[in-house]
Amino acid sequence: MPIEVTDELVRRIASLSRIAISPEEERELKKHFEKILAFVSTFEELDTKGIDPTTFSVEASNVYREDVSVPSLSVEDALRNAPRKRDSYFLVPRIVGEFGGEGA
Amino acid sequence: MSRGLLEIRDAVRSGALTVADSIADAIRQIRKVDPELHAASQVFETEALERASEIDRSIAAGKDPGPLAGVAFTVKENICTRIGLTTAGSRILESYRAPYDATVVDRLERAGAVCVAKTNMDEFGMGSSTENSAFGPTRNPWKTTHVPGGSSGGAAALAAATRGMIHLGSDTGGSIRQPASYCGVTGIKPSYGRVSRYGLLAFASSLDQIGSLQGSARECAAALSVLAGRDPMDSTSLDREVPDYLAETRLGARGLRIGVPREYFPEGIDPAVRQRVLEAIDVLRKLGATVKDVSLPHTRYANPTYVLISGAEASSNLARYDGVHYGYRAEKHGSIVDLYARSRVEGFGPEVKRRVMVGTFVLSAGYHEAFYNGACRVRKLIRRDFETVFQEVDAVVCPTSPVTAFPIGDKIDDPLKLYAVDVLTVPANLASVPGASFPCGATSEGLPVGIQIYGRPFEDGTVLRLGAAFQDATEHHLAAPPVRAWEPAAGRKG
Amino acid sequence: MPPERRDPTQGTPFEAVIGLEVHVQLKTRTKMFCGCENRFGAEPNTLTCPVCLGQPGSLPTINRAAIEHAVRVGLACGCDIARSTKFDRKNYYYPDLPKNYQISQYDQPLCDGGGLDVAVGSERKRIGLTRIHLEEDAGKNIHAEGLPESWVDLNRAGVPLLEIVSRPDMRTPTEAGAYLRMLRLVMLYLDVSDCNMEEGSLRCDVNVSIRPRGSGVLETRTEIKNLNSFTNIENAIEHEIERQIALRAAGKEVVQETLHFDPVRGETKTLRGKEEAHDYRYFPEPDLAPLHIDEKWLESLRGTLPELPIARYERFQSLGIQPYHADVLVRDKDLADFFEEGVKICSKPQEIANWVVNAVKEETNARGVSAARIGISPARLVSLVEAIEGGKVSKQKARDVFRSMLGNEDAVDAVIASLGLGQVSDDAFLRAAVAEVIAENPAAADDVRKGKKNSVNFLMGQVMRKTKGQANPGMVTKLIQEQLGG
Repeated sequence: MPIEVTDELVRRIASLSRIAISPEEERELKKHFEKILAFVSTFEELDTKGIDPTTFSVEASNVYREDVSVPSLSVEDALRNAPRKRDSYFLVPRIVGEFGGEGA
Repeated sequence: MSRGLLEIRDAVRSGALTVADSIADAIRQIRKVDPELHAASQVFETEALERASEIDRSIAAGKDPGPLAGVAFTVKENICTRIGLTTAGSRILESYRAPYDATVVDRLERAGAVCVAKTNMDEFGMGSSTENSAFGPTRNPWKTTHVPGGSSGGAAALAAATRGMIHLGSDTGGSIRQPASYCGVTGIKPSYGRVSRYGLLAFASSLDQIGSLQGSARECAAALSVLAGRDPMDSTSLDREVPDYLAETRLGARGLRIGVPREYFPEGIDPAVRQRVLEAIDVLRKLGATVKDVSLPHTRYANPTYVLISGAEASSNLARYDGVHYGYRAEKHGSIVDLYARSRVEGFGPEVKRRVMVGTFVLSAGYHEAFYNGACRVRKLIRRDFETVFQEVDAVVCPTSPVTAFPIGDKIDDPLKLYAVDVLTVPANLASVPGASFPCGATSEGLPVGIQIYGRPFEDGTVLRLGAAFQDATEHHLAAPPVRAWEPAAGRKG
Repeated sequence: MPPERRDPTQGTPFEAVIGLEVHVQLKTRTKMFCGCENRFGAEPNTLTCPVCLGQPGSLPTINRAAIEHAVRVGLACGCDIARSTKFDRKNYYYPDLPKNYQISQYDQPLCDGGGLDVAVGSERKRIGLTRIHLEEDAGKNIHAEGLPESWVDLNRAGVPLLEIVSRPDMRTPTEAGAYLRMLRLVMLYLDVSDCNMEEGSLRCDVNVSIRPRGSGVLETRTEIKNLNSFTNIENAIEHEIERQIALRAAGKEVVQETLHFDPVRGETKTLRGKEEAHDYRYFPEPDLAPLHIDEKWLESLRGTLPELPIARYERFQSLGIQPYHADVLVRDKDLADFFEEGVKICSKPQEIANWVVNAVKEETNARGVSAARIGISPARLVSLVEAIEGGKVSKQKARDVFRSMLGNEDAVDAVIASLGLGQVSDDAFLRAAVAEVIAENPAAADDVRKGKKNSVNFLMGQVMRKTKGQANPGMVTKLIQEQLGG
């Protein structure tokens, strides 16, 4: 299945990945994507109709945890690696309303 | 002369060796070789010696310190330890301190082993040479101009250059087995679900496993007995009995049926590799195993399948490294979107960025069905190949890698070239079966060659049993690399 | 029953198509995928662990109780419960989402179909459900006006969330309100959630569109978020329907967008314009095993279902109490339980209902305690009702007796006596008193004979004065009418 790797596609993927690449990296990535596509085109030789893609990697199901609480981390440990914090909160740059999150 | 793991364990048990002395020697060994190898990213001398003394005191007080008392272990940088840093070989975690120990670390410590160091790796497990570490490459003790393999390159180099320790590694597409073969040591990737992944920084969740690189199959067996077992913190770890792996390694090769898959001797395989591996198979035959040709017909799709699935899972697993709750945060940034994008572009190396974006591509709308679901379907075909073959044989034997260690800088520019060295190891991860590499000789340049053995799911014991039988009949695993902290017994070649 | 609101499509050629997406926090002891406590109101970031913080190397584990609660909700709503289900990753970036993916369910939700029977005025309507699934909640971002940074608290990250998606079956704000109230009630009956909008344990997004009446085709809809009370939800829907009708009447198109409702101004404002559909890149969660729900488990969970609100309502009505009272009782499980206890030992259900719906409810409201804790048992309330029926105390005075019976174990007769409120219902005594009053007030007596009703009350008042308020008013009225032939 011929898929064209456009500049727009590359930019969209980089944006979805939240990685700000340079124009040069964009060019390299475009070539890399094209190689991946070629790499993958061999799949088309195979007949995989009727095969369910969903398999769990081991024979297991219904693996549960009982509803019993365990001690949480201390606030110090929870925030230990936070780049910016204040008074027990993580600090991040101001989130504006229309940023594409779900924000319940 | 430094001792092997089992000798150390026995000596401590009998009182002939203190834990403190054993651990001090382990640290001495690491410090001796590391200036040349750059394998140990952190060494915990003070903490380790303190811990060692504690264990000695508890032995003196009559307590049972555990089956691995006196044994030192190292931890790959992508496994969480409360002590020191856990960087995954990446700038994005260069100052990250984990608030918990991985389950495997906990189990080793409760067995009386002592953590002495952490080992260098390709960033987030992405690489086959340890050249993708943000903290510089590790060198192969057999030839320091060459790579040790990857991503568990630091662990492999130390396993070759020192003796008696357990070196924890992780394997997603060959990251334990391939460096083990390049460094002439034994390395096992257990069955998926055999060892807990809790505390392993996930690369590809359905492929990752923690295992070890050590001096011999028996040493690996001793470690696996402690590492294996269900962990309630990891829903992918199975509740299956842990057999006495050490006992299994004494059963010999007689009666086992081995399959040699024709697809695993590809064009372009190094002739020396082919030669050493065929010789090794011959040894197994002489030891009483029956050998037959088998076929794993979908082998050539394994690499593309691996690239797509591992990329997809990685793109999701690495999304959390965003500079918000931990890790590297770019200094100059504007909005939050900008913060993410800059932290990640500055914190991740080129290979990681590439794979994350390929993974995003694979999962994205419009391509998801063909790429991700497509790869998942092909994965099933690969699994079925193994299920079919394992109805006729108990193990599959082949080379670990089509090539041996290559010069640092050689393949780094062409990622796809680098992916090709994994082609014989990725099927084990895709099929969730155990796989191990055992040294089986060297090339004329003195570069080690590894023979790889695959087993049925949860028959890790059979894999180690074959390896042990081979090692009882040969001496490749006793060969000493030029850079080392131990002396071979008199009469062995150096 | 909340009063019916106006239907903004009335008199227009349009009908409204309303769908609700409700998120309910389950009140399990621990979070969905880790053992941290599930508790509202704790100090920030004190209920976290490597798993819900999304720390490197952490892995989720499924809380069995959350699955059970979710299945019970599905059973109560008549859904098909999936025999095979799984979790999926929903990938997007947001600071309150530590892993930058949410573990949710995509193509194999736990529950499918089903619906809720809802009372709208005196009508019954069934609102269908599309699906119910489980997912984990995100943390909380706090933005203070004027400050350059947002503050993130991850205590809520990982709390189990049930997402209930209705079919677009509602047509008016009233129906939407009725659906929400019934959904909440079912959750309370099942004891799976506190459903408290102020605490965030119930959240609701609304989808609204309009179309020519009877069209049957779905048209462009808008989504309204950040609604924080049932009233605001109804107001927002009403406003949005009007806005869309006005647009169409002016020949304009409705634009697909996400809106925010300002309850003060009563306006909807654009939150986000039409944007590229989010590409969540869903794929099955590789860290969690699939779930297989077998018949045995399902049946045992079905056995734990209580009598649900509609069934209870109908049963109360069959006991002979009026719809209004049945409705009030059913909407408060506590009160309904109290009522049930009373009815077991008393053959006057409507009387009991009156007392529970008025006196008992006032106490629970005023003091913020449950009916079981107001200080009078159902049995003692029954004894009071029987005293009234037996004429021992008048209805008017009975409230005082009630209040004096709270917080003690005194028998009703003793309380009546101690308050001096005993009512006299002795025929001979009352007959004599009435005769005396008639004799003392000949003018009024004449008025009664002429048919003036007010004079009956006047005479009654005189009898009450004469008997110090203890005469049984019903009997007095009868005696006056008998003696005066009025």
